[in-house]
Amino acid sequence: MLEMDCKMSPVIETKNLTKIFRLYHSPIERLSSFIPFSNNKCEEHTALENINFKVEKGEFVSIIGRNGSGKSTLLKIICGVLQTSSGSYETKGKIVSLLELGTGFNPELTGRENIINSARVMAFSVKEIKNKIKTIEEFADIEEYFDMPVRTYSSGMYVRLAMSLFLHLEPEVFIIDEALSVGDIFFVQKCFSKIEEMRKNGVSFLFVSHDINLVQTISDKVLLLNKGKALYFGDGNEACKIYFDIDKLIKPNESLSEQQEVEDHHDYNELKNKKQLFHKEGGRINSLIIVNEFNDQTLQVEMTKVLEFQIAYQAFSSIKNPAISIVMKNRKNIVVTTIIYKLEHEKSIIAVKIPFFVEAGEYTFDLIIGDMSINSGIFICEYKDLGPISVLFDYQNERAPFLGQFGLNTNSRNY
Amino acid sequence: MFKYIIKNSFYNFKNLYKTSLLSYFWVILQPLVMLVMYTIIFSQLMQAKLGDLGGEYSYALYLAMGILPWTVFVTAVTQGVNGIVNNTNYIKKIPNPVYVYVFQAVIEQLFHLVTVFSLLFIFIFFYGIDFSFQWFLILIPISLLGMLILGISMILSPINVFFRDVERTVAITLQVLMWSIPIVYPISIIPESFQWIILYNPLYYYFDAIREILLYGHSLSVKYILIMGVTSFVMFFSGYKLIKKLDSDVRDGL
Repeated sequence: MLEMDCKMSPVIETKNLTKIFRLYHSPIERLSSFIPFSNNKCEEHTALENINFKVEKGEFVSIIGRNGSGKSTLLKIICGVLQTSSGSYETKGKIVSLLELGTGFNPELTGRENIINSARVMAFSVKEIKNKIKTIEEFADIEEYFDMPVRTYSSGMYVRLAMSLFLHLEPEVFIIDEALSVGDIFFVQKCFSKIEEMRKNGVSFLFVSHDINLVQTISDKVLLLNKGKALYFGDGNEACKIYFDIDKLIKPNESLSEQQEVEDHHDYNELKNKKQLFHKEGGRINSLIIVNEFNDQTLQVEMTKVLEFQIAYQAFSSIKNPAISIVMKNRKNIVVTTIIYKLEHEKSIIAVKIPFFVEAGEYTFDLIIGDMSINSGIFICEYKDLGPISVLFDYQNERAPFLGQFGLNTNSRNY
Repeated sequence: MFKYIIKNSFYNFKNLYKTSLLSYFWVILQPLVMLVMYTIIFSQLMQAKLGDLGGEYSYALYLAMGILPWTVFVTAVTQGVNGIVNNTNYIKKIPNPVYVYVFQAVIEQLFHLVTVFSLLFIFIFFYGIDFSFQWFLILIPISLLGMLILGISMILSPINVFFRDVERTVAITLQVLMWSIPIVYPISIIPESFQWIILYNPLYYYFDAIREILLYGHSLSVKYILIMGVTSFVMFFSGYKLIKKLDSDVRDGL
């Protein structure tokens, strides 16, 4: 019966939660706003508008949305460090947020002292933490550095120490943001298995991430924010789908009526609403459609599976060696690979099949037509930052064919 | 909450001089240097101007009783006014009301009073003044002074978030204040027709009360207690009201 009661009452519930920031352009403007009856010139920015969502006990809820969509503001309100402008929210039990990671860390103190210090600053029971310090030390696994001043730590060690403390605080609700993406994969995995264990013990999670792949695999529910409004709250797959289609939802194509007849399939074109840069006369990219092996149009692909890029182009004979290149970049904006194919003057469509033997995550790509010499060339026209393509893999439950950035073509023999 | 504040300010204080060799000695070193300098300049070089200090007590002792608490006052007000700005990363992360951090900043500095007064008592014994139970009366001006500092800090620290001019103004004002009340000089050197300027300044009574008790062995008059009490309570509660009211704005403004 008690268990039922717990399940029925959410640990976090918001009702029409709204946050408006008042922005002043100068101190003088702010000063004048204190004077009664003066015409107040401040600008108002609605960061969150009528947000309704709830987190049940033991649930894993993720919040996704582009930068500036209000994710952090929402988390800060739930943590209690910002106040609402209108609407209300309720939370039950102790909330720990990774926003607080490293709060109360004093660089002059040792790791051990800092664990205690940090627990005290965050108003957790120092006694309980003292009992657990052995487990925390083992979890952090930073060996002799545990008893050295924190200022001597590398940033990785710092995060390990802070994470180890946080994962052992035993809150009712745990808020995780991007902080988790720091640290090597083994530590991240260790954290995730700890998270899984906590989840089984009834801890609720609120997770903010741009890693859509991870969000999809790990969440019970997803809240999708866009420009301060909740676009969707519920099933993860649905939310992620809408996330990729936000542009289509928000910006109805103004020139649709004129263009519709010309190229009907442009509606499904990845180049829609993007700008082509022309460096030289002689060619252009007309359209790009990306399909998976079942010929469905998509920007998502399972790791090791194939996407086909169908590119319509024009290349005039003024280009000597026309070529198309697809420059793939990972989220750190590092070029992962460049795929180059020769184009022919008279043809107009090229289909490039790309098997994604790369680490799961998001990739953007540039599409360029150029005049090719050996390993370089002259840009004719280009589209920048298309995508993102998300490569999906469930690292938690499935054995990955490779770890790290790429899967190389390898063989092995036993003797 | 009160326990939280005291505990944290105590540990902050404890960790303050973690990596310096002289550690807590730094707390008294600065006022000690000032003490020596002022003593040399005023009692040796400008002796004639000082007049009568009340008989057998030397200027050094008189000065110590003013300048030691004054330095604590100055650092506490300065830290208190910056209490919000300096603790931005805590306020942005931990859901405590902002006044907690102002309290912490001030109380952390007030712990210095312990060191400062121990030094003072060494001085007093050195000059051969006998212990008297009346000395415990200084707890009244000291705790009221603490309340006053908290009040000033709670009024100014949230405003300092929006207008950084406040901390600069405070720094200058503190300098002027030190010379506008008898900290380093006796009130008797001021012409009687101008003494009202000092007597209308409530701050004067806090510092004079300490001397009255320790140096002259007087008791505290009702007038002193009233002036200090009213000033401290008014400042403290208006500060507390203001900082609670501005809490949300301060968070948005950080």
